[in-house]
Amino acid sequence: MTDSPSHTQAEEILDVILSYAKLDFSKQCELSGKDETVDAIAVGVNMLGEELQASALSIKEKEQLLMEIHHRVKNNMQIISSMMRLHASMYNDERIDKILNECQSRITAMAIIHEMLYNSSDYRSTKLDEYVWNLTESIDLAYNKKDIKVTKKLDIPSGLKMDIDTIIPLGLMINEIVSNSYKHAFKSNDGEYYIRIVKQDTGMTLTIGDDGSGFNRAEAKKKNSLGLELIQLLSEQIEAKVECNTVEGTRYTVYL
Amino acid sequence: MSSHSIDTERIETTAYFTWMGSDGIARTCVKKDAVVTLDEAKENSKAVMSLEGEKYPLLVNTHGIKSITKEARDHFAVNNRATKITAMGIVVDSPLTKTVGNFFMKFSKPSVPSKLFSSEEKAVEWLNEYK
Repeated sequence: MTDSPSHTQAEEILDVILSYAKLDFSKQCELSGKDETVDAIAVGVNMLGEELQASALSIKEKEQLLMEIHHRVKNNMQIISSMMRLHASMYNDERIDKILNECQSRITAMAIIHEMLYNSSDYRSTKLDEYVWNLTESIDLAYNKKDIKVTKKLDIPSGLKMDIDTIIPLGLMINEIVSNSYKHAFKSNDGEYYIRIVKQDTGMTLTIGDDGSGFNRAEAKKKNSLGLELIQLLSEQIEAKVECNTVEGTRYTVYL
Repeated sequence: MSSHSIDTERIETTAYFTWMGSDGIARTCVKKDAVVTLDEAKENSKAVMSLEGEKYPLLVNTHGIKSITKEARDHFAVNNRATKITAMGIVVDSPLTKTVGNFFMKFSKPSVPSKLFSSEEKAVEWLNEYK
């Protein structure tokens, strides 16, 4: 049995449609001039392919733009951070030095996210385990003391991704808590800090803590601790509930 | 009363014939089996722009067109381009020209009032309001 011209042309059209579905726009349907309706369909498919190709290009351009923005944000943050370091070195004042170092650390926590986003193919969310690892490496480096040995334990399910709106506040919270561990819990003793994330059906539980001496929350509140206030504000931003336990070290539990 | 009494001479370009009608409506007619790319589209709009008059509606007869590229369709949509056209009435009288016309209207989104018609008479009636 031989195929009719229309049948052959319909098969060619189908072949072109399948190529477009794979975002291959190199093919176009030929017109036979024999069947007006099939030719009209062929022209329609060709035009649809052109519109799809234009949309695909537009999406690609937007993604490149987004990548460029993440790159620039990260670079600008690095410049701000360097300027702070420069200013701190000019005053030789321990208090100013401390404040600027804390600010630098917060900026770095955000800059790491932008760096990871522009280095990945997904510009909207990032892998939580990789981010926490990079963030804690940066904190370890900033607070590292030669005479004190601090170990860290990270227990984060691999492949867990988080969008930028959640991971930035969460990263800042981790930064505050771990920095506090370095500043207060491991002042003169070796110690350990840990970060655990457990994913549940309804959400996620993040536990951050250390085996240090703990702290007096009432006193910290009296001193108007910016770090504690930040943790509270950031948790509200991501609609998380935070519990703090200061018996046998410090432990924050964040329910997301 | 219209200032035009007879059709002007036809301007022939690669893919179109273009002229000013005695009724003050510009006309452009696609040649048989024309493959319209951006070059042919630009050539056509230059011809349309060269017609006498400050502003005028345009009657487009697509009968005979074989294909038209996206760049050409977008060019005809007038967006961000100086034009003398006040409206476009597009005559589509076959499955192929209907497909082309609908793609033009829905995707290229012409910035001047535009409408598809199955007959030239109906298109002229509508375009008369844009003279």
